[in-house]
Amino acid sequence: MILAGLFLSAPACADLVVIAHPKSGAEQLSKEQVVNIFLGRFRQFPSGIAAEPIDQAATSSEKAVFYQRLVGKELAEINAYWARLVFSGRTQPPRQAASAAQVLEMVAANPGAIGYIERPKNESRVKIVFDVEK
Amino acid sequence: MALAADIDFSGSGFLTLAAGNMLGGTTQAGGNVNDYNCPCLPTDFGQGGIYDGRGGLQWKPDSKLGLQGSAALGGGGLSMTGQVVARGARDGRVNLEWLYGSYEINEKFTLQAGRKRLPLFYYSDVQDIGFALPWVHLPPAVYGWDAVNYNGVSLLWRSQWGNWSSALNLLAGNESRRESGYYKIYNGRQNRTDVRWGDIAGGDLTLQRDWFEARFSYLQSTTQTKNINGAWDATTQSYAPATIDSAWMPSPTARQRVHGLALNADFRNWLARSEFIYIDRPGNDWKDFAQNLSLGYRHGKWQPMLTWSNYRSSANTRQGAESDAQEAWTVTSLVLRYDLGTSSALKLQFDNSKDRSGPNFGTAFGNARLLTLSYDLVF
Repeated sequence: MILAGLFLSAPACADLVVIAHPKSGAEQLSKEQVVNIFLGRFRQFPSGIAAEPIDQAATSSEKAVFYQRLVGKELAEINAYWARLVFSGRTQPPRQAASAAQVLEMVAANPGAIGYIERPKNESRVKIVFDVEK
Repeated sequence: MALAADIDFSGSGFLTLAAGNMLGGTTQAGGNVNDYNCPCLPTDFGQGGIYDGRGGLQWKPDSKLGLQGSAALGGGGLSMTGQVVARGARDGRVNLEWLYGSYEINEKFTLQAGRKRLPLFYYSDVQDIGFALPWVHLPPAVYGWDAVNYNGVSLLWRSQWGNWSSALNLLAGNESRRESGYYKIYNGRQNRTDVRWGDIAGGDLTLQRDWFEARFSYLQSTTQTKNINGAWDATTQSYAPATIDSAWMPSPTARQRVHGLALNADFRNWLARSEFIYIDRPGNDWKDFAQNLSLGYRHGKWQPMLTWSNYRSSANTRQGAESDAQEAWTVTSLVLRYDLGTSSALKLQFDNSKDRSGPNFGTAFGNARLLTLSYDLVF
């Protein structure tokens, strides 16, 4: 964990939030609900709308920080977790966006999409549903 | 080409290169047990993967290469998946492990049909994916059975109850396996025994909350074997002709019942794995008890883990055999994993196997100390 912190640009993702579409029906999600959606355990908003999680790029510091803060795991551990689910046909990992801007665009365009980005300013197209605490 | 445009292909794969060396051990039968030069440690019963004292550095038992392809058909939740694996334990021959169609009815229900892995145990689904495992090889005391796949149907139901998520998987099918690896371990490396599991029915329920996970499983089937070319005879030190067991044995109405419980935790940097199996096989004269317990610690890219696993069989006394002093062994393993990147890892594993079989079990492999090193990759 200490090592990961040294390599990541911590100030760049000091304030990560999970965003969803205003029509997702979600006001606020619990940490467990976010974990269930992003780890493929159960992908549905409380409103009943199917949740479609979006990851940031595999090499982005946001992705490493998100999973470290959410479940305390390195990306290698997250990949090993997904290898288990993908090769057994149980579920697929989140779709991957090329950039934070693309995550924002995808969530703004799809009522089921859910992603994580730096806290946006003056952005009404998406709703913050979870603060990814340090 | 409108049809092709509606099909979305994706491919992935996995590789394990592993080499092991038997450091030492003891054996009660002058070294030759079931045509293996012991001390021996079977590490993959399903595929006949076994390290013995003869080969020096051995790469075959745990090395494998697998390719998986999926095709999503249109946007309606329909897909096809196939997986082939070439393994050293099978002299590089390529086996079709998975070939199934999947229909995601909605976010809660998924229906699958075809050839799949039999989810007997927690890690069964990924027993070939070294990168997904915390060991070089799975604890053989638990992961030691003759059928690993099945042809049939399964229904997966996902749900969420408060902060708990659940996944219930129900399945039914059959399996027929030529030249079982499991029986090569017990009947000799040149033995050919075919295996048939019929009327397979069962399922598993996984409950997860934050860092805790529990998995309950139950599966039943008929189980039969057919010895094609004779088993190793310890007295004559040669293969006896298959005269007695050349028919399917025993009666097809005899059922086995497999009960499993796995309790896992990933709490901060600590990880704990445990699995408890009880198999009642009244038609095959045996009851089997197997457990493994692991505790590991994650420190950056490093992950040391200690595992204790145990297997014990008990004969069914109403079949006329002595219930006690049958096959039993314990394996203590220390594994050090190092993640090279986000998709590859190195693992070094030391196994210390203690043979606790009693005098009523004739072909004990003896004690063994094995060191294995693996490189795992997913792509």
